[in-house]
Amino acid sequence: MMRSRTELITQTAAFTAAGLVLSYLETFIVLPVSVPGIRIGLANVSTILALYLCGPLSALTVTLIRVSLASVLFQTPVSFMYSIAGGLVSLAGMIVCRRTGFSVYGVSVSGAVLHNFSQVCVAAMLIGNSYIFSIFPVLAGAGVGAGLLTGLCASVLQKRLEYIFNRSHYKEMDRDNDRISEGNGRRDI
Amino acid sequence: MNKKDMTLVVTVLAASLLFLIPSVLVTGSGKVYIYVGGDLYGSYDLSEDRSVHLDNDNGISNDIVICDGCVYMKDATCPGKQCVHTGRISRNNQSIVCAPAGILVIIRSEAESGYDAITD
Repeated sequence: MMRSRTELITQTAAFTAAGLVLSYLETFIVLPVSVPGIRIGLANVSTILALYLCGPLSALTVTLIRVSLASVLFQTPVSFMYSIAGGLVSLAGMIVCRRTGFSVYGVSVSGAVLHNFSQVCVAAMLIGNSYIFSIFPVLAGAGVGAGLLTGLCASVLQKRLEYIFNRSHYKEMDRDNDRISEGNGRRDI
Repeated sequence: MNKKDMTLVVTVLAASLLFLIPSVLVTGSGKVYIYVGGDLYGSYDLSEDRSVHLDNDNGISNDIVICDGCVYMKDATCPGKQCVHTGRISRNNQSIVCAPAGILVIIRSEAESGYDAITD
């Protein structure tokens, strides 16, 4: 992958901004379920895209900045602890899953379920009682559903963004080389 | 979706269903335990109607009601009101959590399963 530092920084910033907007949009989506902690996790789409298109370091940056800003803007200090733990653990899981041959769907599902798991852990620490783990099965089931949904979004967007990222890059190269070849711009990242 | 993804999804779903079975079987019986900041505040019979009012050190107050074999958080002064939105619970191991107040309300039935012993 030949991409300049500037491009990488700009793309990471764009993913962070997109993730922040998705976090905000998600505060309006109230799911009709009686278990706390169940949500779609739309913001994870931007983290997955950053992971696939810009690499793990970029995804880490996106997670840290998005979670910090989202808790300052729309949430409480308590939910920052939940979010940062969930974000980091799920990112670690997603990086491992991506390396071990899962597709975007598997990566997304593992991220969602690990996010739920770490939130239950944080809740258990805050409440000081391990009984809270009994709601984890419900959360895990919901996490699979949510993960598949965000995985679908991510896989659709990934193909299109990959194309756009590559095309803009190759257009520059083509201009430099004075060699314009349509359709040759799609090369694997 | 490749084969590995399918395996992951099926495994997680199967595991969570397996863990759910014990808590779904038992309903309407058992005791309600209320924990405040990790310490047991009190335990009440699920079949006995009553209400419990809690005023916490952090300025949040909670109204817990036990009625018709169900428990619910009638009102709370916490910011998110997730505990109130949890609704009624009646089965073994179901819980209502009010994280800002540090309150856990949980139903424990007499019939203990092996899984509970592990999490203790």
